[in-house]
Amino acid sequence: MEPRNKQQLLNVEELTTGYAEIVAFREVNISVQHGEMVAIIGANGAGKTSLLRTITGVLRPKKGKIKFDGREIHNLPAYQIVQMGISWVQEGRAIFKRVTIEENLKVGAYHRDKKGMLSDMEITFERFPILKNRRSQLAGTLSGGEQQMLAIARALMSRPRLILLDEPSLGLAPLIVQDIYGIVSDLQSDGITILLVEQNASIALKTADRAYVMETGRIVMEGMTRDLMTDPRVQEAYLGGQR
Amino acid sequence: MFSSYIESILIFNGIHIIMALSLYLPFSAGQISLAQAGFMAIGAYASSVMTLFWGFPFYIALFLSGLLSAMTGVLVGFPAIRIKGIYLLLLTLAFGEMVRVFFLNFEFTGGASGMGGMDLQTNFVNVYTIVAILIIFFYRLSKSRMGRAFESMREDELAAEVMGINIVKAKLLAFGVGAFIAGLGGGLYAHYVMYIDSPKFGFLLAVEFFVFVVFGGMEIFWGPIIGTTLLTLIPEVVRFLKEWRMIFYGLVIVVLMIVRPQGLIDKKLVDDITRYAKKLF
Repeated sequence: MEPRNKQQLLNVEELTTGYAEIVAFREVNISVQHGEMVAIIGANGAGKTSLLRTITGVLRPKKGKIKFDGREIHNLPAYQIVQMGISWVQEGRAIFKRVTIEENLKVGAYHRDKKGMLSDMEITFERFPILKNRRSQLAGTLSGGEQQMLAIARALMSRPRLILLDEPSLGLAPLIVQDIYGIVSDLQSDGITILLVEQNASIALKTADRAYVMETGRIVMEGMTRDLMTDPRVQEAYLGGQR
Repeated sequence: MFSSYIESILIFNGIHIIMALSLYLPFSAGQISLAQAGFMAIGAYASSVMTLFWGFPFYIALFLSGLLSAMTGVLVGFPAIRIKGIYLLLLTLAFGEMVRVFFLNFEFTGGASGMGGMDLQTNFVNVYTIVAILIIFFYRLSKSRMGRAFESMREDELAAEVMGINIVKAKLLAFGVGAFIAGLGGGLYAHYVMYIDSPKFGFLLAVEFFVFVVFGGMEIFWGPIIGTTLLTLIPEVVRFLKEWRMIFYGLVIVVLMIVRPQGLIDKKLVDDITRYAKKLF
C-alpha cells in the first residue's frame, strides 16, 4: 500500500462510539484521500452506519478524532459539518416524500446562496433527466431507484467534497443497482471523494479503489479492492465463495 | 357594520384563527404543542396588567405581551430539542397546566377571582388586520428557506439535520414565533371579553385549537384558517338543533377524519384551486 504520503481528505483516528452503554465500534482507523473511492464492507450490525453517523456529527464519539481536510470536526454540530463539505446519503434514502422533487433539492442546497442553488439545480437535472421531467411531483411518487437518485442528487446540491453513501444498493433490483453504481463512478470521475458503506460486498469491491472490512465494531482487514477480492477470507465471508 | 351577534362570532373566529396559526407554526416543523392555551394566558394576563395597572397603550401592551410569550415559548422549546412525539405532547400539556395553575394562585392578577375591567380595545378591524398580516407572513414563510427547513424537519428530522439545517435554532424559532402569535391572540381576547380567569385557559382550550388545525389540515396554513372558521361557525349555524348541536359538531369531525384524514385543505387542493383560478382570469 502506497497511501500515507498522499493528501488525505478524511482521517478517522482511534474512533470509538456507542449508544449509552453499548459500544457500536471501537478504535477504528480509516483514511480517505482526495479523489479516492473507499468502501467499508461488513455484515448487518458491524457498526458501519454508526461510523457514518459519527462522521456527520449526528453521534458524538466517546474517544478518538475525526479530521476533515486537516481540521478536527468531531465536536462540530451536524449542520456545520455539511457546510464544510461532507454530505451523507442515508440508508433507506430518507428523501422528503410529501415534498416535491424540486423542494427536496432546494433543501439539499440549504446553506448555499440562491444563485448557486438554481444553477446547480440545472446541472443536477442534466445529470438526472428523470428528475427534471418530474420536478414538481411529490418525491414519494418516485420508484425506489429514482428515489435513490434523488437522494444522491440532493446530497450533491450542497457541493460536497466528500460524499458518504450508505447502502445505495439496498432494496433495489440488480439492474437498477448497476445504474446507481454507474452514477457513483461518474461522481468519482468528477472529482468527488466517496466513502461507501455496503453489505453488497461484490459490487462495492468492483467499484471502489480501496476497502475496509468491518466486523462487530472493528476493522479487521483493509487493502486495495483488487487484493481483497482475491483474498480467500473475504471470498468466503462476503463473496459467497465455495468452501 | 354587522349585527352585534354576528360581529362577536366573527371576532371570536378571528382570535381562534390567530390561535390555530400559533399552533400551526411549530406543527409545520414537526413540533406538536398543547401549550398554546398557556401562551395565550400569558398574553392575556400580561397585556391586561400593562393596560390596566401600568397604563400602557393597547397596541404596545399587545406587542410586549407577545414578546413575553415568545420568550416563554423559547424556554419550552429547549426540552423539545431532545423530546419528540407523544412525549413532547405531554411536556407541552404539562406546561400549559402550570401556567393555568400559576395564574390561579397569582394574587397580583386577581388569583382565583380573575381579572376584569380592561377597556374594550379589540374590534373586527384590528383582529382581521392581524389575521391578514399573519396570512402574508405564512405565505412568505412557505416560500422561504426557513419554511423549507420546517417542512423537511416535519418530514424527517434526521435527514433535515444532515442537510445542514440547524435544527436547534429552527425548533426554538418555531416555538418562539408560535408563542408570540399565541400571545397576540391572548391580548386580543382579554381586551374583547374584558374579564379573564385562569380556568378558561385550560387544557380543553388547547385541545380545541388542536382540533381546528387537524380538521383544517396541517400541510398548508390555509388549513387551520378554514378549519377554524368552519368549526366556529358550524355550532352557530345549527343552533336550531339545540342540545344536539354539539353532537352534530362531533359528527362532522368524525366524518371528515374518515373521508379526509389529511384534513380539509391540503396542498393539492390549494394547487388545484390556484390553477383553476388562473384559467378563469
